Amino acid sequence: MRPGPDSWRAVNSNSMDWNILKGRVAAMAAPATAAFQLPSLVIEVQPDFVTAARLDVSHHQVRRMEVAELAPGTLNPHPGRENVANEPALRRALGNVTSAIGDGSGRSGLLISDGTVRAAVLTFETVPDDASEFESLVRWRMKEHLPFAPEDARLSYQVSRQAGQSCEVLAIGAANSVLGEYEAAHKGVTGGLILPSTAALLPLLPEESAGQLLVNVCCGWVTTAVVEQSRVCFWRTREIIETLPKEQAEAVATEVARTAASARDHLKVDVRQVWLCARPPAGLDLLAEVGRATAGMARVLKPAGELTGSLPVAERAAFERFGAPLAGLLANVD
Amino acid sequence: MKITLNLAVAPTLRERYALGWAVPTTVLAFVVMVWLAHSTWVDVRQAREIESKVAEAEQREQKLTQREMELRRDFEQPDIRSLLEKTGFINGLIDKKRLSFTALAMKVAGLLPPDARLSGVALARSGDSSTVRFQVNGKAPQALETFLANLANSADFAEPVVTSEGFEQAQGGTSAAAGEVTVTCTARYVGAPTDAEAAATSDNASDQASDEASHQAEDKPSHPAGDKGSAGASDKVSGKTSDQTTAKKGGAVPNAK
Repeated sequence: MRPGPDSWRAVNSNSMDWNILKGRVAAMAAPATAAFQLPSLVIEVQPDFVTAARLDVSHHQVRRMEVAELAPGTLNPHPGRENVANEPALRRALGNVTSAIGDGSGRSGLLISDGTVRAAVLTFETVPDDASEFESLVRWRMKEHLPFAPEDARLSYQVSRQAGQSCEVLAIGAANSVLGEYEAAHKGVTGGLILPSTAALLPLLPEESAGQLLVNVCCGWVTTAVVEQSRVCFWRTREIIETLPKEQAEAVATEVARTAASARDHLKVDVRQVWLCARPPAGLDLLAEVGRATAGMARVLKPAGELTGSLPVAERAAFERFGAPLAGLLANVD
Repeated sequence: MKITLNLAVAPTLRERYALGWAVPTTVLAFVVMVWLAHSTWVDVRQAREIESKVAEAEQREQKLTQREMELRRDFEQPDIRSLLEKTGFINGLIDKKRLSFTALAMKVAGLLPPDARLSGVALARSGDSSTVRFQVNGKAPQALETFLANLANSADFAEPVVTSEGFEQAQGGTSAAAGEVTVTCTARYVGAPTDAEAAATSDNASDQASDEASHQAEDKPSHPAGDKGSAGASDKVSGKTSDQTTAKKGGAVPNAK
């Protein structure tokens, strides 16, 4: 005897309850992430380079900075696969930069490629009062954005906007195993700060009521984030599969134009300012293409010069080329 | 805009509070350590005091033990031992001489035949001896003769003497004592020993006799008079008993009659 529609409904209902319960149990079992804190040692690992900087957080200064190149293929950012293809090379590069600035024994921060992290802007009609329930809810909603099991995700979120019962949340998630590869490559990373580089750039944007578009181009990945006032209302990361510089510039320009149009059409956010951060620094092709796509609104996001007051002259150039996220982290600290 | 995002794992409670709690924990541990040290020092001091007291008590006990051993050795000396034995013997005699009036009455009642009744008993002590005065009534003279015979044969009494004898005249036949014969007599109470006492007495006597014999033998080891002396002492003890018996037989019965 086959079950009727009512019994199917009951089965589906039970299945849903079971999945909710499983999700909540997974949320409880998942490691809790820390609040934002800025260690004095920050390392950035990108597919083409690694940087290490020693910061004077209290005085908002960068004391030392070192950059080292990574051999192609050493790191392949992906949210669901192994990232570190050549761990000895990565260890060697990290050892070089950290020893150059004076290896510290304390906690350190880690900036990773946007391709390793999945980010999403989530809207909730109602928000539970209990923080753990809310985290479970965010984890549940993030499941559709993650290419791996949600119980394996490290999740962090911040409320961008709250109006009555509804709210908007910017959430980022990364596989625990993937982040573990980076932590294993440099033992001091654990317990400090781990962020995608675009998140570190967000504090550099000025507080404006008009819409702003942040474009982060770094090592074959482009991230576009639309920010209105102090909320992130759009975030998208895509890999640049084009190989030639001109094609890459066109791909980035196309992405910027598409994002601006999408923000205007769907989010009703009119982008008035485009901030471009390209590392290594953008070539003329990229600047021209983005300028053309944004009708001249694009500006290059550069770190402020006053942060390098105590930085050796030889390291200032490296900071200007690669230190925009570090400047963003310092700007995020009161 | 400000960000609060962070994908790093939150530090554990131990990591978060280890440094903060290190100082108060160290201070607390130091205080506890000082307290433990002070407590240990006090305990050690008390233990030493108790040990010294125990040592003093042990020394006192040793002294007392030595004193006891010395006293035991003193008691083991022949003169003190013989004195102790004599003291014990005399104490035994004193115990035997102790007079119980109830026992005396029971012994007198045991001598009375069914037709006689004891109407009066009086006890008079003179020096080391006790003299008992009886007044016995009997319905017939035969009953009183039986009583006197029993009294003469009794080992508890010696030297029975009849002091008075009377006959109650019938006066109208109403008195209960009319026609009864009344006799008043005296006897010396010797208190016959029980079997155990007799055995102890004979043992003491034989021990004393043997001691005397041994002393005499030590004085004169090869003289045959020692054996005679021993036999004489033995005869003396037994002769004393036979003298008593003889006194009873020879003195009391004729007097009673």
